[in-house]
Amino acid sequence: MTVNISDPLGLLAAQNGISDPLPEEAKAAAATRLTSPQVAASIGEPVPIVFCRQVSGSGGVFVSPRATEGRYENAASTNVLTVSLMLVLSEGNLPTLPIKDVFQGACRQGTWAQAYDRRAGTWTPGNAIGTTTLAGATIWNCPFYCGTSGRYDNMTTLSYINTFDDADTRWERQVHVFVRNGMQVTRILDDTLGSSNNFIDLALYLIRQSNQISETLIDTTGMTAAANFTNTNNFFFNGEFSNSTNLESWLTTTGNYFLLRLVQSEGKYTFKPRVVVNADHTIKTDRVEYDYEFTEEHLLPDGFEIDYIPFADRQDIVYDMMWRQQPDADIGFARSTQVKYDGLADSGPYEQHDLSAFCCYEDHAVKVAAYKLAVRRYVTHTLRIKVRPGIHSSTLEVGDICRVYLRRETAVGNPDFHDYLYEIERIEKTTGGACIFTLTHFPIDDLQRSLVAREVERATGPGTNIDVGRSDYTCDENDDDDETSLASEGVDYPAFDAPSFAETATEIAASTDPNDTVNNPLARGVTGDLEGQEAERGGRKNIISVTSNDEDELEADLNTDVVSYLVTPPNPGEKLTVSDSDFTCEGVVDWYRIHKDTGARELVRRSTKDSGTGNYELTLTTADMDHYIQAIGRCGDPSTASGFGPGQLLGETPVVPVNYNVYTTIIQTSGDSDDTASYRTYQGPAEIRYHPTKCINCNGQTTNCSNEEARPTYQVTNAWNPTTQGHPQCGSYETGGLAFSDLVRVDHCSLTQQQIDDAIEIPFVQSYSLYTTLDCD
Amino acid sequence: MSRRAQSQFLRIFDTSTTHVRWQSYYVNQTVTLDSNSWVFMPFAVNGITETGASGGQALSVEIPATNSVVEQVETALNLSRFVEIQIYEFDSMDDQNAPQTDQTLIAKFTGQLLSVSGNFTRLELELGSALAPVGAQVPPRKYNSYLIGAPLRL
Repeated sequence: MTVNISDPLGLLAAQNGISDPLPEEAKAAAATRLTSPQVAASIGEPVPIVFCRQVSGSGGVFVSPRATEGRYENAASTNVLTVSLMLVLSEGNLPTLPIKDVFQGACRQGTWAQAYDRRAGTWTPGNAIGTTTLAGATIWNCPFYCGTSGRYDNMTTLSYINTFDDADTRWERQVHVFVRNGMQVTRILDDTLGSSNNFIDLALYLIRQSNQISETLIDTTGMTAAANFTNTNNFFFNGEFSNSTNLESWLTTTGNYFLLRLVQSEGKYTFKPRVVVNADHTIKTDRVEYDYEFTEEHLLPDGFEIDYIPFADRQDIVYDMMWRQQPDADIGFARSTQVKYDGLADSGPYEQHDLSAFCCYEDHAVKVAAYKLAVRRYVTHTLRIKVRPGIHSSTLEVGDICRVYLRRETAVGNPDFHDYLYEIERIEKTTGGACIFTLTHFPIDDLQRSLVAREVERATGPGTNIDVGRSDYTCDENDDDDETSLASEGVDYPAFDAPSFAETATEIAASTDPNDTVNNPLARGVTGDLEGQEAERGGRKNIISVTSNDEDELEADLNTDVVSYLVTPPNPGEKLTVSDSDFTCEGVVDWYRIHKDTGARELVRRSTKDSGTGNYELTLTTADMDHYIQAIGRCGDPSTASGFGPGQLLGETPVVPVNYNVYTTIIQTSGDSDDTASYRTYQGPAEIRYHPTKCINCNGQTTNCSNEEARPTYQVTNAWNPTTQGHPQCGSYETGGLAFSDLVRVDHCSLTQQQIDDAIEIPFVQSYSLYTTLDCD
Repeated sequence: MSRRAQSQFLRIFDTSTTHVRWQSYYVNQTVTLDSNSWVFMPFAVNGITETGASGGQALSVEIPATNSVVEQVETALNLSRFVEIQIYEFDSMDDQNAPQTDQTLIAKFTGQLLSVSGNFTRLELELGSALAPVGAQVPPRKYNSYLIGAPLRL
């Protein structure tokens, strides 16, 4: 049974961003305190990413870097305090900052240096506060744990040095930096290395650096289109990314504030605009054409499910959009702009959205609010339809616009119609062919123009810059128009006491021992003869180890070596036997022939106990060559259909070798092929030829091979025993009788060279006896 | 009567090499598609979903647990290889000995092999991306002792 469970349609509004997340009332991210104490970096905190790019005097971000090293010393006579701080500005390489953009507290002060991939400044961290001769001097309460140095790989670092008169309380204040152009990445739109304010560039950087999504699963074409959309509509990212968060959550949430939707199409990730766009990536405000029309012809039974947006998500509301006003020559500050429909929700409710961490364009924040307001006002429902397969299966994709036009019979002769445009949120293509489309209402006006897109396009902020409210610039020691670059000054390891990689990391070497192979169960120690034989033969793999319980005699290992034969390896003609003393039950022995290479198994014979010997027997034939023989004993078991119980291995032979000199066949001794009576079974070579023309006949006499009676009738075995048989090869030849020879024994015979040359070696037979068979006549 | 038929093709690959091409429609045949040979393997895909919402993007494939499949799947899992699924639609009344030239690609999915489970005879592969919906992953780098040593304590 298959149970098909889909997401409840009611969740769609939250999943696709129609519903707002739970409002969070908190101060704007950009509302930083300027005179707070300096903050130090801590092990485990994220390395911040300063991502911004100033365009036409707009953009940039004001950040408060954390210190990792410090030095504090005072002058003996004046008690003037010199504070030196080493600060991490950002991951990556940032363009060199001008002196006008570095602050302590709210004031442009200090001597600065900037470095990349190294420690900035050359001073040594430590507390060198000493005694002073100044009467009534302040006791500087400076830190004693001033830090050691580090490698600062792929980081932009700053060195800050400033002096403070006796009793000056400003020495502890936080250092700030206005970064106009942030970390450099290869921008997707112009394929150039440089600072970027495009959200897609940051998203791609995070995706790649976090190794969460493989490059193969990124839809670069879609990402480029999304980058063009944000760029064209002035949705820029100018911010510092320093709070640890979930990547998917961040991409989705922050993407919403750029009117982008994170989608996965064909398994690949990309962003798509939340509003319809023109080819030039501007928001499309004219007639929208739909890509497909679904009618009742397409709908499958029970294939229509509708869910209306709840009241809470449709109520008129005031959006409090927070963003950051970022003056070119001063410290940025948080702004808010309220966005609502004219004459509606005059007294709330209010909902706050904080874009101040990255948004420094008022129109950007206002357009996001306009989108949210329009969705609340116009998008009334979501829909899920299940339709039969069709051309839409291959043409529609997420984000496309479709029309659902269904006839509803509400009264005789007066049909009603469900006729709306929808944006496709989700497509399920089932193996049965049916497609399930999850759709969001796409509201249009009478001219078929997108209501949401038009309101987003029209929305602009008041466009008024509020004065920064600064009344005193006397604390500035550096000019606010000083474009001088910070000094490029720093030191590399090992100039300072920075730990080495070996001191801070452990790399476990991967094993190169072949015995550690994890997928080889034989390497883990397989027990038992059966496994050993199989392993030796190499025919089977992954044998599970068999452990025996020898203490229980009923589970003790069986003797699996009770098949006996005369010669090892046995040859065709050999008789295999299993003694009834080894297989004591009343049963049968199944003899299997198993090919040495393929493992193909074939039942040769089921033998019962021989009435004469009491043994179970099998005589090998030439068909057994290249096979090994396995004896499986089965005791009688009347409870089974076959009458015999499960098999147990009694033994196996080695592979029977190929030996064409020894075989069993039938030879015709009569010239009449129909004279079956003259056929005679015999065992031995087809002919025994000791000379090119001379053979041995049935009676062991020499005869011409062309004679019919030259058929051999001798049995050749491998059991020749020179001690008992002498040297029949030689002797028999000399007596004119049994005369054939192998090349070894020729040396002992009184043969002519011609006879030696003519002697026939019978291959593969290592030794043999020749004697007259009983039925030779 | 519908004449619509669907065939499924599965490919395991990495950035430089395609390691296996299987198809499940042409029984006991090796067919050619896109100038490549696709060997028969009776796998089944549970359907493909394209969505803008988080969650639901995983896809599962059932496949026989033969030695070659187990070997390929284990390797793909260990080496983070990719699996591509293609579903084609064609007219079942036309020739079915090989992929038809005018068949239509109706669905495609590429993902990493996220997990494998099953029994002795059958494996179920879950395809998707490693983008985890929980846990903090960004910013990707954190301050550590190698980078900043023992930092200043204020």
